Amino acid sequence: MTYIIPTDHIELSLEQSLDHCIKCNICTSACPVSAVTDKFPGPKYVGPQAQRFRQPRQPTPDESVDYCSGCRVCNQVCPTGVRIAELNGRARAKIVQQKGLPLRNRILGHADILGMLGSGPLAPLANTMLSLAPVRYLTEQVMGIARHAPLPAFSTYTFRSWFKRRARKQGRPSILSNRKVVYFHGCATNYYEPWVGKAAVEVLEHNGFEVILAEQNCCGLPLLSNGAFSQAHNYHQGNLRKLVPYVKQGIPVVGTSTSCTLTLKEEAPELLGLHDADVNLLAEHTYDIFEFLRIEHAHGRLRTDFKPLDRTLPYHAPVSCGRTASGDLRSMCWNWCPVCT
Amino acid sequence: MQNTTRQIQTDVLVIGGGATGLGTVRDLAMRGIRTVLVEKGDLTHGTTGRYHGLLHSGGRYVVKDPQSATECAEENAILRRIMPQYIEDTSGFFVITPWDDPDYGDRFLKACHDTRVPVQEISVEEALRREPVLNPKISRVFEVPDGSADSFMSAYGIARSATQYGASILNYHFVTDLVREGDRIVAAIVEDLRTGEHKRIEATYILNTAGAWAGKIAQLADLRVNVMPGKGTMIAMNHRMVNTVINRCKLPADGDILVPIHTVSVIGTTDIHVLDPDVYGIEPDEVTFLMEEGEKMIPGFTRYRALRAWAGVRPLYREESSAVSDRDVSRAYKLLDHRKRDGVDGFISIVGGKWTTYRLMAEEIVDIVAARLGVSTPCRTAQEVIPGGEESKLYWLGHNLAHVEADDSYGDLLCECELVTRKQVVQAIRGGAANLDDVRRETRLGMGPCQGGFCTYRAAALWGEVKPDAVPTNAKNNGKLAQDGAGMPGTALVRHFLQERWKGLTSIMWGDQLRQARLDQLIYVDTLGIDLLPEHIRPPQPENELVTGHPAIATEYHHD
Amino acid sequence: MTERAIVVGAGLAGLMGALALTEAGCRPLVLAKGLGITHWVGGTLDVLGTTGNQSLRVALDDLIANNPDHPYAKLGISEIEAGIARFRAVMQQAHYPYAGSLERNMILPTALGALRPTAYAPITMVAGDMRQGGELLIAGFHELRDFYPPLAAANLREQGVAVRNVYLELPPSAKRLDYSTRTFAFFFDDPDFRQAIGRQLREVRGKATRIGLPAVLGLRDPVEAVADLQRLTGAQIFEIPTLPPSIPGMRLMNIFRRTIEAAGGRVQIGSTVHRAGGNADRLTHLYSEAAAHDQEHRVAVALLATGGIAGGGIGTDYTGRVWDSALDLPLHAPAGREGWFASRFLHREGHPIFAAGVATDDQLRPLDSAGNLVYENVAVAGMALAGSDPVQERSVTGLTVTTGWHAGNLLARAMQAHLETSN
Ligand SMILES: Cc1cc2nc3c(=O)[nH]c(=O)nc-3n(C[C@H](O)[C@H](O)[C@H](O)COP(=O)(O)OP(=O)(O)OC[C@H]3O[C@@H](n4cnc5c(N)ncnc54)[C@H](O)[C@@H]3O)c2cc1C
Ligand code: SF4
Ligand code: SF4
Repeated sequence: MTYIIPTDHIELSLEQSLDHCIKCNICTSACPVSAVTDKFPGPKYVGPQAQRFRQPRQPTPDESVDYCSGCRVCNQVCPTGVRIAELNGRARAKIVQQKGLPLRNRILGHADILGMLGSGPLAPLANTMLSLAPVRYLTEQVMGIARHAPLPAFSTYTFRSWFKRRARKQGRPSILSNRKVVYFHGCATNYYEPWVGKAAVEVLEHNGFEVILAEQNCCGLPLLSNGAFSQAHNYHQGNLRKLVPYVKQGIPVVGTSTSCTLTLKEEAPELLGLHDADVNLLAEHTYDIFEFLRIEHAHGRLRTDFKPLDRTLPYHAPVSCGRTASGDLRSMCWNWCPVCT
Repeated sequence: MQNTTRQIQTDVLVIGGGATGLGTVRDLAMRGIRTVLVEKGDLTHGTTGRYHGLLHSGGRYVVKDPQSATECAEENAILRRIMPQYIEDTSGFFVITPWDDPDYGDRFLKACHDTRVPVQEISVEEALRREPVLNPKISRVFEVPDGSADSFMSAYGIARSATQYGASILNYHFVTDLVREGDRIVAAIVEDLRTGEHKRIEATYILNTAGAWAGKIAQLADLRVNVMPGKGTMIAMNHRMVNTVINRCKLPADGDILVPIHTVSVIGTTDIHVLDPDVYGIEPDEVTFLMEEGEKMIPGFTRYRALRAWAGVRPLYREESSAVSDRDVSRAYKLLDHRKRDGVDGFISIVGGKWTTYRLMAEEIVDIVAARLGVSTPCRTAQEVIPGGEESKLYWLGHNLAHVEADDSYGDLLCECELVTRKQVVQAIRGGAANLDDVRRETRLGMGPCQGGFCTYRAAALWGEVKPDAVPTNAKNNGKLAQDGAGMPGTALVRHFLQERWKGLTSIMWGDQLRQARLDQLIYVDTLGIDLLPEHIRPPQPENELVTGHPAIATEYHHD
Repeated sequence: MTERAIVVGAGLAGLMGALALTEAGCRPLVLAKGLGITHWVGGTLDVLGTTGNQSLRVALDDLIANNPDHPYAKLGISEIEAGIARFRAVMQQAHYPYAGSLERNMILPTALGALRPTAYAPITMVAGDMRQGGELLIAGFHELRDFYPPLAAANLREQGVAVRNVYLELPPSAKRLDYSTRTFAFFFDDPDFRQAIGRQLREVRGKATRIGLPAVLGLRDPVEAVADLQRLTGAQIFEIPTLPPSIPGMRLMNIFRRTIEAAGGRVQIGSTVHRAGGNADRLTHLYSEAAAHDQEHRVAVALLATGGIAGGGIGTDYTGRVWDSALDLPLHAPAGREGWFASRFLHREGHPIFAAGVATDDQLRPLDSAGNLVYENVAVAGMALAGSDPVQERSVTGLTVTTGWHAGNLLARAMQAHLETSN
């Protein structure tokens, strides 16, 4: 008898990953959204279960999936590897395509536009819109993420303006180095938390890197989460155009928002079905800053002469951490950081 | 034989509650003829409930069996009209893979034209665009109007319609004997398997539509009908990897069709001669073979999740024993008028055919009976829509999900995998189901990935609440009390259904499905402790408590 | 990058192992693909269920004496007791104590009305012990599709238990479109909801001295919830576990996670270990899957606690191949798919494939088929072990907890020794 033994270990594609579901309800017991509204039947139902009833050439049979926030808690706890959040993202994209985007999502989806509206004088108004307290409370219950970590609150200046001002003032950075990185700040850092970007620049420069502030787009994650795939596609193409030239010169892209880097590396290519050479190149050479520093550390290049910090660091983008090579942020720091432990 | 306690008189008795028998009884009733149908199990207990799910376009037979091809093409169009609610318009591809003779393509195309099977060649790119997981190395693709069809739901629909026209349909009624008086068959002796009662049903005509069992029925009248039961095994894969029927473009062989039906894709079939339609199992090498044939159509096939395997027996008719293989016996059906053939009146058999041609077969046999009974009403089954299909809307995959979403009934799902609500289960229980497997045939309960892992407990519990006095227990053994042991309400239902599911699993359990079985075991053994309930501690006994344990109908997988 | 203690798997075996390592100061990192067994089983501590009327301790002695390949035989009775003791101490500290003993199994009713033996149960369940008399009331909710009082009660009655059943009304404020066990646990976290339910129960209580409810009595403080309901009804209250997700199991997970992290260990869920590297007889590296690149971990010691077939630690395919999906250790498994199953799902002996696992020496270190040590710095615990089918023996939680604890301690010692020699 001849067996065809699978020669590779390529996982089933995203859609096919529903095959792994054993209906165990673990995802449903962890989803923060279904905990606060029963209009959302939960990840098992809208994900692997509903997917068996969807067909590309027919109208979408379901709408409740629209309530999924894309937070990926379900992916993280699922013991079998079902790509629930991505399944939901694709299903929502089709709803959007067929029925249009609900206004709620249309506004929240454009982090950059919202950011532009929000930072500066209009910030307080936009901030109220973003306080999703119940969701955060439950995320904490389920994943152990601090409720009091600051929610996005618009800053009164942007990171890019600070960086440019600083460059004008200082000229070229004091340390001259042939080691360069492109810093991908993402919308959150630019509009809400410029101090995160400032810290990142300091750490990178402290380690002898020249930080390049390349032109960049929003990574597109909010749009992906809301199913606005064609706009997300444009964003990603823009980022490819702007960032790949650096990568081709051997300059890596480093980001501080785990969800942004994860989007560049995995979410956008997968959800949008983009797999060409440039896409892969960018994915491979994009790093979360902790992942990047960790690798530096592994090679004995990281300078660990930090000064102890007297403040609680905001823990942003919590859930996506699980998929990046930095892992859970806390275990990450604690892995090598002499300050926190 | 036991004394018969009851007599029933009718004009025509139909034996066999598969597609052919049900189509026949409805046709008879529509022509105003008094009629009774008996079926030894639940409806579709035979081959109809174990088929591949393909509404043939005819394409498969164009080269080898042109008559069948044309019949299929015509009936395909008719069934889409009269029973759209059970049919999904999947369309079908015939693809030439690197393993197939490239010259067959032209022969195929020409034969389609000759047999009037609608066909259109499409580009490989177009085919891959529509079915991205298809083997990119295919060289040609022909599109035909294949579809998929639900043989359970349609059987219940046809039966309901027949009943409305006055037919009487008796399931769990087993024909044990035919009464012959001189040159005429005048009655059948039937055992009611639920009560153990025997009945004598007298009829002017008895129609043998017992499919693969037609030979066994004829034997009861000392007549010889040579049916060769050909077993075919199929594997349902966990989801719709394709949405179009995929056929290999070559002479019909084994493992060369993949049918998307409801939430699954079914690969099949094998074809192995068996001696008795009641005794067969699924062999491990059949499964390996099907999985590897799947690789040729869909690269990576063996890594997808297999959900379940089952087998059915083909009712292939052969005039007298000759040494051809099952695949070479015509798929066309054969009407045997025993008056002309054997000089015995009152009895007609029809054997062979396909699900797709059930209506045509029924029309033909009823035409003869009607003429002999002096009824001149013409057949209307090609025009009259089966209730529920009036809006001409074909079934679509999203149908059930769209319903659940429309009335927010997701909190009421008992079977979450196949989206079966509490209401549907209650209806099936009230409607006379004898066990959860009957509920399954009507609702798809337990047919999804977890194979009853969650819904069995729920549905059995609900049964006790809907019909507290009629929960099947171990206490009854076909009317006689068992020697020992108390009945365990609901538990017999659970054990029986889990075992029914298990039978279809063992041959395909690896990977995700094995993990699923372990979780199901954690639920029923570890958490619920079903094995600790007293009845199970007794020495294992045959499952005779839920009707399906009767030796007459305990088919499938005798594999211990 | 420093070498560290890695635990693969966050089931009860992995968590107990991590706890042992944490307490020995080894600061383990737990990597797990997802959550698992905790959320699937009822949350009692089952040491061995096939004891009949024997004392558990005697049955364990027999098992150990007659079955040297059994994981319990590798631990010995005192290590089994040590693991149980530590487990109970942790639960006690978290205000979720377990009661019971190794003398006799208590007998708790299941959601199907079966009488199930277990050694220890959370105190929210122990009032269900059937060795006590008195009339029972089983209560539930129509809205919860995973618990049916009439079915449980009917089967209990068939076994001679005096029991009635009732469905309770949900207060209007609790009406939803959808209910899961978690929905109900959230309800029971709310004292007002408990008030409403307690009042109803008092009315329908009749002569019942004990009231069984589905195991959904809250996530926050179930002990307080039970106490509340007892005050309100005047009867003893007990929980009956039902289908996944298991609320008692979620409590366990939360307690373990808090305890381990508070003591310096880390639990990282969503990280699949899928590759290992080693030299001679030491495991040196593990790789977990992450976006675009793998995460590399340097290993001082590692605990494989991936849960066997249920946990996903053992992969299988259609050719009959059986493999360890994390470390690729050699496995003990029946050859060929034909030998994997009994013909009946509920066969009393279970199914051979479910006993597949890693064979070990008496320090729970992995052996190959020739009996040679594979890695000296790796231990295996829980359902990943060969030598038993814990579901069939009713030892799932007991075996995972005790082997996890034992393996964790052995690894802690090995790690200390290793660090001393390499420094
Ligand atoms: C593997 C396989 C795959 C197939 N796939 C397809 C397909 O994709 N498309 C298609 O069109 N066709 C397909 N067919 C063919 C099709 O399934 C059959 O032709 C059709 O279902 C036969 O229906 P029937 O009513 O004639 O027989 P059956 O459905 O077998 O009905 C006969 C009934 O008679 C009953 N019976 C037997 N003995 C007694 C008795 N003594 N007393 C009372 N009742 C009795 C049996 O229980 C049975 O229910 C397939 C067949 C097989 C085997
Ligand atoms: S956690 Fe994973 S396996 Fe379990 S129900 Fe959710 S998707 Fe399915
Ligand atoms: S991504 Fe978040 S909101 Fe969406 S289903 Fe998963 S857990 Fe729930």
